[in-house]
Amino acid sequence: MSTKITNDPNNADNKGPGIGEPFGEQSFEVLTEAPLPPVNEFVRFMKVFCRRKVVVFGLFLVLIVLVAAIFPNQLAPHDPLTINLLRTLEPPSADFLLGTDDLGRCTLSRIIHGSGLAMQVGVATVLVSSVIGTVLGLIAGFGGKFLEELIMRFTDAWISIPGMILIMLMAVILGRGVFGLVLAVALGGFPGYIRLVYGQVMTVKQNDYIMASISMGDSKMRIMFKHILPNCISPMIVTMTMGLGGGVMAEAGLSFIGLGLAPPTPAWGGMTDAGRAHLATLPWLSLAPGMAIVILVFGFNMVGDGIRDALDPKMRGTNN
Amino acid sequence: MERLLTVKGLTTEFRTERGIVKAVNNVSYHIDGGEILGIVGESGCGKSVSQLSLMQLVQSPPGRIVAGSAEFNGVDLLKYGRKSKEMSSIRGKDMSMIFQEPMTSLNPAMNIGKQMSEVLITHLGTTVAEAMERSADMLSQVGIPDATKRLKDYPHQFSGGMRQRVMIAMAMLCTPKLLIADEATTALDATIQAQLLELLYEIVNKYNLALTMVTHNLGVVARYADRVNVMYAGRIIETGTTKEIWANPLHPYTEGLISCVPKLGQKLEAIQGMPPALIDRPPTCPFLARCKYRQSECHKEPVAELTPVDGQHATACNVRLKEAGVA
Amino acid sequence: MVSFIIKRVGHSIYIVILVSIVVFVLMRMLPGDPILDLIDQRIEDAIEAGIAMSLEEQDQLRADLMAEHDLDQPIPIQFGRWAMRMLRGDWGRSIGRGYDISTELGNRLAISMYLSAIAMVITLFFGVLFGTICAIRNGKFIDNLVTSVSNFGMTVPGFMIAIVLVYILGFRLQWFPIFRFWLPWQGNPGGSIRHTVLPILTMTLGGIAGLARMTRSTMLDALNADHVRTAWAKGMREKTVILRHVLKNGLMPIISGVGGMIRGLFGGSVIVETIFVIPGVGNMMVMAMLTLDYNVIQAVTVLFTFITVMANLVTDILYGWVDPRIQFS
Repeated sequence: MSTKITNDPNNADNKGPGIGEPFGEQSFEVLTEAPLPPVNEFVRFMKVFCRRKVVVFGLFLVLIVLVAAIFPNQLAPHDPLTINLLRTLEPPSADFLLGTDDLGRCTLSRIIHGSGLAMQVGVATVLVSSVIGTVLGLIAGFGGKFLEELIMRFTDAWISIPGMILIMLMAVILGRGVFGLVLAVALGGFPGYIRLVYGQVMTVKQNDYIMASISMGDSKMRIMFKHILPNCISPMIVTMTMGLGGGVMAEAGLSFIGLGLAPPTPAWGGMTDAGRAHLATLPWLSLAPGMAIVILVFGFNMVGDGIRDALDPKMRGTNN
Repeated sequence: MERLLTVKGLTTEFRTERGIVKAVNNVSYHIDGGEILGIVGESGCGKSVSQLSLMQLVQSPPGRIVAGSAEFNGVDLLKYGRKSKEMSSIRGKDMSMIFQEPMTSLNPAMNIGKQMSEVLITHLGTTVAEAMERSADMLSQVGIPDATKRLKDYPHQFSGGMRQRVMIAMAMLCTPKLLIADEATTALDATIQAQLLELLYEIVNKYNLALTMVTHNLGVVARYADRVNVMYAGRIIETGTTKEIWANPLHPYTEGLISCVPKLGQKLEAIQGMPPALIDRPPTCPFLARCKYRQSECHKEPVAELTPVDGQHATACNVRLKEAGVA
Repeated sequence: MVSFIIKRVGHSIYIVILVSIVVFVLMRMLPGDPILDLIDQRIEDAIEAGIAMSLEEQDQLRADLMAEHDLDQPIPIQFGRWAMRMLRGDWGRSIGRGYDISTELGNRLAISMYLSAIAMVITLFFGVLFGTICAIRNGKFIDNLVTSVSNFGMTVPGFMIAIVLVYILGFRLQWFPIFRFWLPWQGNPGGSIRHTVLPILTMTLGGIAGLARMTRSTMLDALNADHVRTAWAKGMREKTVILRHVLKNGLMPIISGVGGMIRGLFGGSVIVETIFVIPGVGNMMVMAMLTLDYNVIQAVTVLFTFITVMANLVTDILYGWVDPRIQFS
């Protein structure tokens, strides 16, 4: 790109000025320096994301659990539900790598089969709560004074109930299925998204370019999709990846206190609780499924951290 | 007047993702006691960073002073650690700085009196009562009415211009030998800018301080400064007395800057193009791409050192130096 | 200031009322049956006493029990009666067990509050301490260590921390007892304190990790603020800069996080009190949830909401008192 300044474009025999003589009336071209190579956003994102080893490790952990969740039958050495009362409470052996529980079921197989539930609940709760939260946040931001008051006051009330109590309440109300569980955890988390989207709407609304957009007669819908939503995406993705771990933890907590899926479905939280009875003698019964929870939550959180760093506009073009 | 500050070869770098930025590149200059020095240049030319480097206030990381010396009052400032006792005892006492951001430069959670008096208590070991009294006195000197009462006020209770007055008063408390005003009035509106500049000028004269005025406004420099450093892309590309520079700008960039100052009845000219990126610069003249006078040799020769042409007047333009028969 | 407090108190009352309505209505819309367990128990009692109840008698019993707890009324009337009783200070009776809720709550709340208060103080102290050290030594070894540990700590669910603690400190090393709890002034204070250790560790470790992270980031913001540069430029030494210009400004945002911490502590009490068999409010809540004891669930939810709302109110006022920029208007 260069700017051409010339008073007479036909004047082609331009030999350039002598010493101390400006280009003056003749043509003068601002030279273009070899530009710095353009930053490829994706490459930059991956570079920042992969910079911390622990983030990559987190991603690796998540992928392991994901593989276990997709191929539980291929990976698990035994059927997770088969009861064998002749071989209860066995210590780890070649046959049962993590021993058996008080009904003779293979702990390792149960953990592998539980990964599907944990993943599903984590992902589904985040999707459900972010969708509900976004829609309500947008309605609160754009739907006029009455809806705004209604939704935001309701949100205030919702987040005044201690989180675990709220999720437990929802779980009791919605019943013991996967659907009820997901919805319960999601309903515990969606006010966060409402506040996020609503806050974003309020901030963006103040911007001059929205004023310009409104003054040019753009519709609310257009402003919403063209300006507000794109602005929400970064914080949204960060909150969502962080929410994955939260969802897994909340589900585990529920099944730990006995409000999760009904037995015998293998759930990590429930297994941790069931193993507690034998903690003194057979600690792995409780610790192994507990570690599985920690591994998945840690993985999700680290991936979230990495994404946050990579999306942080303050981190653009810096090394820190 | 005696030499107060001699800066030699000051170079400050910032590490960024895309490479090392040489924000200040081999800068050498001096300032005498009681003198007013203007430093002008576009945004990002290194004028503020050079001054922050002297005070050792460049944020690190990513910033780092990699070379140079700054002899102030007989000691090399750059030898001291950023957090050293020696450096602290010079900052705010012999050498004070006023920053560009009046809205955020004062501590929002502490009242003005405390913020001011701690300077006196730290440097001069005065009692709290005496420090308060002197702070109030200084506040009224910078034109804040009801000074004693206002010591109890918090920064948010002052307007931008008033806050900058407070900053000036704070910088003046120990009567430093050198005051650095880093774009001190840029963020304020024009009438307040003018008032503050007059105030600064008055105070500097009254106490006979040296003042370094960092600004992008050549008009301000022309009115107040004795001498001017013109900076471009991290280098000083021309220096001289204000008169010399105004009457006979040597460097094409300076010439461009002067033609940017609006004058009645004249067509306003702008310098074409943008300042260059400061990463991995070739050794040639940084202004080359935008220069109206460039020669084919300019593309080959490394940029000249700042070389005196006539008296104090020096420039770093290869073409002009040849013309003057210096290089 | 006064009008601000009045306004905020009004807002708080409004939230508590809203929550109690929502919970009340939602619970009664759920498919479960709160008196199912109770009827089963009565029938069993009767059988043990040698009496077999006829179906009519069972239906009569059900109707009586429903009437006893207003459950046969339309929901608005139920709520109205509940609200009237609440206004008189009567929290009602447990459906399943028949105890008087307010008496039971009083005893249990003392225990939950006692533990939460200790946990709060410990979390605040260590969280802020570690976070501040990290921010000051940003990028150095200690920062990396604490940040890594707290990153990890935040991912461990409370019950997992509890189980590991119980296993190591309780079973393996046998340093601390693993269940039961009483308040120190209820006799044997030494024993009480020994019983406090594991629950408190469980309640604080995750919180310290979270708070350290939060403090680190607000402190870093404070350290890089323009006015801190001014403080350096004035010639303040590092100690003064940090103590006088960084710490207070960095801690102000933490105050607003304290309300959230209290909310988290009471939420977490449910799990901690279950694991360590502590007779607190959380424990009571789990029992009530498992048997669908509407009255207890309602009471505990309202109580916890009230506590959270009050905590938020106090932190808001505190924030305004600490930050001179906030005008109460």
